[in-house]
Amino acid sequence: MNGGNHSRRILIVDDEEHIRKVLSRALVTQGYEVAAAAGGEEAIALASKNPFDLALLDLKMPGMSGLEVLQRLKAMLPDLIVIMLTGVADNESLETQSLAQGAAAYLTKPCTLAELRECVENVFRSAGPSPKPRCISGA
Amino acid sequence: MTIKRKVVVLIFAAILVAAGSSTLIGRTISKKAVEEEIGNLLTTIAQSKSLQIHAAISDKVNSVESLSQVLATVISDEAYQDQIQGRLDSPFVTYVLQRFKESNESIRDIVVWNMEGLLMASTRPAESLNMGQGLEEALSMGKEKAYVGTIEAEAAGGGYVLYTSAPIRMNGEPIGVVALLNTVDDIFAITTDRTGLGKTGESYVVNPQGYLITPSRFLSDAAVLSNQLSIGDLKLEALIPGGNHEQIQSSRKAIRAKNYLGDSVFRAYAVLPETGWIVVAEKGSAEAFEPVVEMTNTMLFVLLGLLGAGAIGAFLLSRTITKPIINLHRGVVEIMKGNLNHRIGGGGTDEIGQLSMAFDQMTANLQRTQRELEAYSAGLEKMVEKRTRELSLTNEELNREIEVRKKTEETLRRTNSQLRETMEQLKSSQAQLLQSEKLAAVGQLVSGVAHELNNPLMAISGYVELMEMYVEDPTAREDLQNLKTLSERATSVVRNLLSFARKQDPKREYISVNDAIKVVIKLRAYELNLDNIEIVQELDPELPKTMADFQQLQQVFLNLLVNAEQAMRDAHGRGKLIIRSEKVGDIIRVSFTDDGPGIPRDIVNRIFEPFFTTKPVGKGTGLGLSICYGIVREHQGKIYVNTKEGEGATFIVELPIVTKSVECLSTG
Repeated sequence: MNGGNHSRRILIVDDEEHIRKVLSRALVTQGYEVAAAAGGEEAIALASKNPFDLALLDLKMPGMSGLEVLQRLKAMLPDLIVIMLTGVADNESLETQSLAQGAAAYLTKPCTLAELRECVENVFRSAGPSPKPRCISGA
Repeated sequence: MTIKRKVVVLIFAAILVAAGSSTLIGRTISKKAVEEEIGNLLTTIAQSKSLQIHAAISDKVNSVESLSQVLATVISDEAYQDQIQGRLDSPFVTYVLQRFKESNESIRDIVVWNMEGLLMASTRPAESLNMGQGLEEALSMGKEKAYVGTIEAEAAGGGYVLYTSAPIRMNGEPIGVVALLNTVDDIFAITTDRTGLGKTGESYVVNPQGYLITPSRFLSDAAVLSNQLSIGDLKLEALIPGGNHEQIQSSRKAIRAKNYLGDSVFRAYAVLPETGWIVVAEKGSAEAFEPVVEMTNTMLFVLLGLLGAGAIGAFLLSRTITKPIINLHRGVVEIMKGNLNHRIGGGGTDEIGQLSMAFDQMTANLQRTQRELEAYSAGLEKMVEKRTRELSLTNEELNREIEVRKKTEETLRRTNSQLRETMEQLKSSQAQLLQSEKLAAVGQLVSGVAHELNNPLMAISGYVELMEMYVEDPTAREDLQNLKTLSERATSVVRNLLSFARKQDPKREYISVNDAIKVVIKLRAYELNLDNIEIVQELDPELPKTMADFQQLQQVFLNLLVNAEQAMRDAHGRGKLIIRSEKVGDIIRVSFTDDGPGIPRDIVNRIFEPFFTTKPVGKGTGLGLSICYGIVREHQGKIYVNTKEGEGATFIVELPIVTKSVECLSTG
């Protein structure tokens, strides 16, 4: 659909297998190259080996937290665009913190695939860390 | 009336009564004595004069009788027959008459008539002989016996004469009458002798015909004797009681009468039996009473003297009596004034003196007693003063103590009420805390559950979307659509759940709470009208703005409005909702008061819990009020309900007034 997306590589980090599957398939159908990691350490290992343009990072994961992963990734790859995936029940301050630590936007779970695609596109379009839009709200 | 005056008056009265009565009695007695005396005197005089006059008249009768005998003898005497020849008119008879007249000085003239009344002889020439009434009577009366006539003024020779006559008898037969014209000097000498009659008394003689026949003292003789003043003229009627002159008898005592001058006199009289002459002796009563008047005057003088002496005596007496009394009175007055140093003094031995002494003694006692009393009183006063001072000190202390106690009490009361208030607050806080804890626990639970649901829901909806991309079969697509709807519903539930449970800071803007309310009312205007719900807005136009999340507040108000709307509509198909906003202290209070069925007591404490609902399954999530609770709590506010079953409910939202500047400061 969007030919511009073929060169884009996206890393999905989520502890929930079905989320990884759904997000991957949704983004793949959009022409993105997608890799997935089930946890923070795996994600950092992948990112250190392969170049990614964007990471979809779940905030709440067992083991290393989303924020920690965000810090490690941004330290390693300052140009990496990160979209945080946050749950509705999560504390809003976490979102604020993540934005402050370099996340480009955040998505509130549960969200539709359409919302996801739109958010990703927006982020790439603006291609800069600021302003950091909140791509989606639960409303 | 002072005692002095009383004494004087008393003494005066005594003197007046004594002297006055003695004067009156004396006067009466002396008057009586004078009357008696004058009666005796006048009676005596009248009687003695009548005796004297009787003697004089008897002389004159004797004289005429002896002459008649001489004449009878001469005529009948043989020796003288030659010359007389038995005739009375012989010169010899005249000679005898002359000789007789010369021998008796008291005879002025002698007349002899025969029985026929012819003048026979006279010592006076016949032509000078005036035959008056007296002479006529002497002739006629003398024919039978000796007769004494009356006294008359004699015209010829002047002076007064008394006629006496007697018959001349020869051989027992009267042959003529001889009459003497006697001088009356002897009689007049008797009547004019006024010895013992004083200055106003007199004596005179009245003949039986009532004529005065002797000279009077105060009338001229001529007037008396020649004019023949009658008794009536002389006012001598008193002499003849009953008018019967013949029956007059000699008086035994003097009578009071008026004399011819009209003066009051004492009068006594004596009657000569032969002639019926009345010898009167009078004395003026004024003169008679002169000694009485003198005596009375003297007595009056004495009385005056007595009164004077009495006045002085009374004055002196009263002085001696009243002066001590006055002193006594002065003493009493002085003591009444309080001057106990005053002493009456004057130690007389009489009753008043003794009284004065006793009084002085009493005063001294009184003075002593008073001094003692004063001393006692002074002591008492000092004592009272001391006690009063002590009392007032004690009183002050007491007052102070009372003040302190009052203050303490006040403080206690205040503290108490504060304590009570605090306790109320504590209770309320505890209840709220409990509620909050409960809700927080539920929130955590919900949050966990929601979070766990997030991923599956998102995965489900993701797969559905992916499947839609390649599934062509219409039935399968329909199923996918249903799946999508259901998952969206589940997502919505989770979102609502999370919006209650999630801890997110509201978006703070400086907004008007009233505006949020108005937007909500506008939003629901159509439905409200449809459901016959009347909205009464009592929004405080002065309500201050505050820092708050406009969207969230809208959500709260919308929830409350819809709840009320549904409750009223379901209860009676109509209703009235009062929405009020006001500033209470430093909070904004918004209340929604409906006239719906109210909330039953047993569930009122659960309405803010998540999933608690009274609506049928599928009609409500039971999350509306939980979300409101979460939002208000995030605003540091309170939400609660006042309700009574059957009387509607009032939901109250209280938000702190947060000013813009404060918010800026706090966020830095």
